[in-house]
Amino acid sequence: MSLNPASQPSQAGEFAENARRALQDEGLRDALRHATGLIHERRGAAVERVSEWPELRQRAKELKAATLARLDHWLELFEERAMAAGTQVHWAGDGAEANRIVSAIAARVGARTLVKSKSMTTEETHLNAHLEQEGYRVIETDLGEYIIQLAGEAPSHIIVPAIHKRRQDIGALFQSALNVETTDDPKALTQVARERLREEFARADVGISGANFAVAETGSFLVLENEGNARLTTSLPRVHIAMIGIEKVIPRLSDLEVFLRLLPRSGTGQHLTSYQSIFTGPRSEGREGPEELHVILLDNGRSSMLKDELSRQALACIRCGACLNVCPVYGEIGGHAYASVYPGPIGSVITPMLSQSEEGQDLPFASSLCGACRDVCPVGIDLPALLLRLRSQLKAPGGQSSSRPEARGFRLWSWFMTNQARYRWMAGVLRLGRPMLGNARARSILARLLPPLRAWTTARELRLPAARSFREQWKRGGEQ
Amino acid sequence: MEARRRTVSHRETLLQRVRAALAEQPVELPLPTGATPGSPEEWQLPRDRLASFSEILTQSGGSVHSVRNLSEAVQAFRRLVEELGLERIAISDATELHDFVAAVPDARWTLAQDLLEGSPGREDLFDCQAGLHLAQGGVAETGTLILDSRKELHRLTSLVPPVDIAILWAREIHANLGSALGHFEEHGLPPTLTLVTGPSRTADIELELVVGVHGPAVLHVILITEES
Repeated sequence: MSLNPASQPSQAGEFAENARRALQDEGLRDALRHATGLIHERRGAAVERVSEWPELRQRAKELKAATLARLDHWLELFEERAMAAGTQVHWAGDGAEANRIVSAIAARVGARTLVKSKSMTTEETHLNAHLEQEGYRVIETDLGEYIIQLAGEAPSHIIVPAIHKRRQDIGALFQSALNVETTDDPKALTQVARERLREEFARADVGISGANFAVAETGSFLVLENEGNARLTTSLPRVHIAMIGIEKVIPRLSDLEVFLRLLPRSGTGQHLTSYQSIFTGPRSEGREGPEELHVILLDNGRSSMLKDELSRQALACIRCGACLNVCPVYGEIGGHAYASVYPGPIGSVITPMLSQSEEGQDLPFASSLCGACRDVCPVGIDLPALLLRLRSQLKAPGGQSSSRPEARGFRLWSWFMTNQARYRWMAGVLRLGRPMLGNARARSILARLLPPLRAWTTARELRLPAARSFREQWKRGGEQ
Repeated sequence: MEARRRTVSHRETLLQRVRAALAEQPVELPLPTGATPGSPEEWQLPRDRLASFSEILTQSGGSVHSVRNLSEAVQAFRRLVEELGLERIAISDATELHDFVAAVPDARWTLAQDLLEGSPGREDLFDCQAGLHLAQGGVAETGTLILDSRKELHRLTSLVPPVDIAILWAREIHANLGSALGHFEEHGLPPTLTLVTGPSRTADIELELVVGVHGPAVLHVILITEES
């Protein structure tokens, strides 16, 4: 199973190279800085108005932990109640199984066109590629997803798929792909998409959605959105299929309240999105809506993350994207550099954990461990702790636990640092070298000679050691 | 028989994997109970709920027209029809809306009953300029309308036309999300429960807000304040 999105110029396992390339793309960096800054600001303004925000986070964290600790029970209850309401419940161990279930349903009902509302889970399983191979037309209806589908790209953000594109890029894309007049006005572009997609909604045989939450006690699931495309996707076609990761289950209908308070604010800075739809079974006879409702419960590596308390935290993710918007790394290079369906801090954790192969093993290293992600996470996931643990478990890029010179260098360094006398001797030697190091040219020669220093100094200054050590200054009672 | 056995084993395999993983670090944690933190107090007075509902829905891009009773609501509707130049209107099957149809006899009315699967009326729906229906409830905390698909055929009427006109009795407004959900926990959920807070919108292009995407671009709520 590969989480590497299809048709992706960035290579999995090549984060360093992808990042370097992204850093050279000024247009991309402008777009990202503008967009992530804006959403983060909007999130901040919304959160500030909620004085009980810390209590809400705590409640959500506890609720998720308690639910995941008995996930088998809640999954069975969900299935029982959903089936009682007339929903057909399917179980998929991995993405390939899930995709086969979808195409089997499509084949049985004689579908030709399928419309989709935004679902990162279906990106994860590469559902579109599978359906297209089987000869179906699959149309993404979320505006951001529609844009990247036309561009043949993968989403670069969990909730704003085309965040890396400027309006001019989208205008040019629509002009060439849809044969419309060039414009870069978002309103006009949205109107074009609305008109084209209405034709698809009208003719679609099957609608595919994800779900934000699945409620065990009622056998229901909830889909949150702003555009109305999910409502259309799930109201017009005869068949509605929802692909839902098993970690999305929550016990009670009332539990939706805490998440409805947290998710829209964390995700876009809204108190609530324009629409929430709660589905409980297909339509009754003679009423509106799909006659068949299917839920596919997807594992795809999630069960392996249930093994201990820390990794269970990562399953609490409600896919708000707040960690992406605050991350200094994501904010400079964007989602494609991660070469994974899930980028940013949460992606750096769950990509290697979900993957059955060795995908995303360089991603836990794509972090400065600043901890900003943990601070904004609405469900309190300790992302830095997870990143550190993954680093110790995974191989570093290059395939070895660390390069031999690097390992030797660190052993030498720790030999000096773990003994006071040796440390002071080393510090003294460095200070003696100060006059030489004071020469910038000498510093750059030195940096070139020592490979670790060269890597360090490509983006940082090589600093001078202080003239006097802290101890000496302290002894003399003040500044030198 | 073969297919069923395969499906059963997918289920069993998945559940076994979950159980085995949980068994590595089993823990019993109590589910949090009681009101969600910060749940705004139940507004005792309906007029407080009404005020909050109107204010927040307006902030979210909807328009709220307060009237005293059904006949004033009909008048408000007629004013909207004139203002917006509405000639082709979709309407749900709610019997309370008969007076609205009678008040605008020259419009082309598309009935929700004619929009069901396979009906010829579906093409007309995409041509309608507005949709008229009731809302079964509201939420004061968030300025939200509640549409219950069991009670009325308004799923498509409230979604496809670019203008959405909803009639709501103020007495049906719940204080907050918790009490609204509690109501459905007690009375059961319909096949589709839709919560609407303003017109459709997107910020997918450079994070710039565009109102009116796939759902309606305009939302008018005619709020009837009479008690009974």
